[in-house]
Amino acid sequence: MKKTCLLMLVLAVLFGTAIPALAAEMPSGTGDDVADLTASLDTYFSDYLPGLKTESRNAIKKSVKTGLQNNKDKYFMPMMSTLANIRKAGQAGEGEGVKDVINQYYKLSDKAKTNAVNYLSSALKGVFLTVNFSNGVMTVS
Amino acid sequence: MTEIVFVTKDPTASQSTTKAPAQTPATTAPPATTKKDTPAQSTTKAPAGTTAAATSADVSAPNQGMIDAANGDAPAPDVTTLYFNAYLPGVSKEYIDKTKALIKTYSENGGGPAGSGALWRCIREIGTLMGREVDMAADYSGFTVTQEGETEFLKLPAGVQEQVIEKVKEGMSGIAVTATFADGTFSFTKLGEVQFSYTVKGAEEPVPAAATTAAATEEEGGESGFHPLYLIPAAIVVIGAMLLVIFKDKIFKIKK
Repeated sequence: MKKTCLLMLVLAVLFGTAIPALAAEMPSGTGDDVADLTASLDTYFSDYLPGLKTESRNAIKKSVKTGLQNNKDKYFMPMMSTLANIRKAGQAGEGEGVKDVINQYYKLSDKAKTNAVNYLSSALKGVFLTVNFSNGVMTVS
Repeated sequence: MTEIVFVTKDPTASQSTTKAPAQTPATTAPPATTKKDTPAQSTTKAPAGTTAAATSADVSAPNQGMIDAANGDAPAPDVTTLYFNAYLPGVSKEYIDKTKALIKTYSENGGGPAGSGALWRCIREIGTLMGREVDMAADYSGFTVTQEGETEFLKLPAGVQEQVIEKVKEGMSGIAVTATFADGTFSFTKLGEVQFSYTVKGAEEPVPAAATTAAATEEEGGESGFHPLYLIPAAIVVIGAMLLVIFKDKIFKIKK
């Protein structure tokens, strides 16, 4: 019995020390939630809202990053739907051959315009930003 | 905090409306060559609700020749090459061609002539910042250099260098390209991908990022190698096995 326990203990120690090293190799990002989510935001902007200006991207990213750093519990889950809504906003013009819903907004049908604006508004409101849209200008604060 | 400006009107269409009354571009004085005709260079301020980049493109108001060039209406002058040669003679053909390729991509993606017009204006303004003065022919058939100015960026005073950097950023933003400057090298990025880099004369050429990454990947194991992190658990297993062998008598109480 004693030898079995000792053997189990040795094996447990071996596995315990090996797991972190193996986990570091998992392709799930840096392991830093704040950095990973901020990077995801960047990817989503590039993929779905290529026309979003750098200044706006940086301002939104900064706000989200600060939120995640100060209150991760509050920001973490909404980020998932925020990313999804950014994607939906960018895809609003997909059926109409418009990839850049910001710079080619005028090309969109009324329905697609509404979708693009509504999804982007929802995305930003989801991370506790205030959004106003008027005459083609979305003010985010 | 920030404003996202959705483009509600076709910029190309609005430019086209000015085309009809100006059917003789060759005789039209190019506004880009005189300060009074380039509102962006004057004290025009960005109205609330527009970003600096959008404003620079909107107010740069290219003339008919520029519009024709951007629209591909032949015969159109090669304004980009002409402007580089006139205002920034230190830029080689290689980089002029790369810039033209970016303008082409921008146009193919639906970008209007205002964007390329903004870039041309910035090329001219950078030349002016460097002390270069040029008389541009109205029909873009040629130009006369009235003052050489400085041709090397690094010989400019620090303050002027900063202004030039900002002008490069402003000009490239007109064609939806992000410009950054570090250690004597301008990098031009579109949708997160570096399109090309330009190292100013006298600065050291940076090591290409791709080569660095490839080398780093190889060093770290790459696909064909073995990652050093895997050595840690392997070493632990070996040490554990050795301990088991050494202390097997005590662990398993083997009687001799």
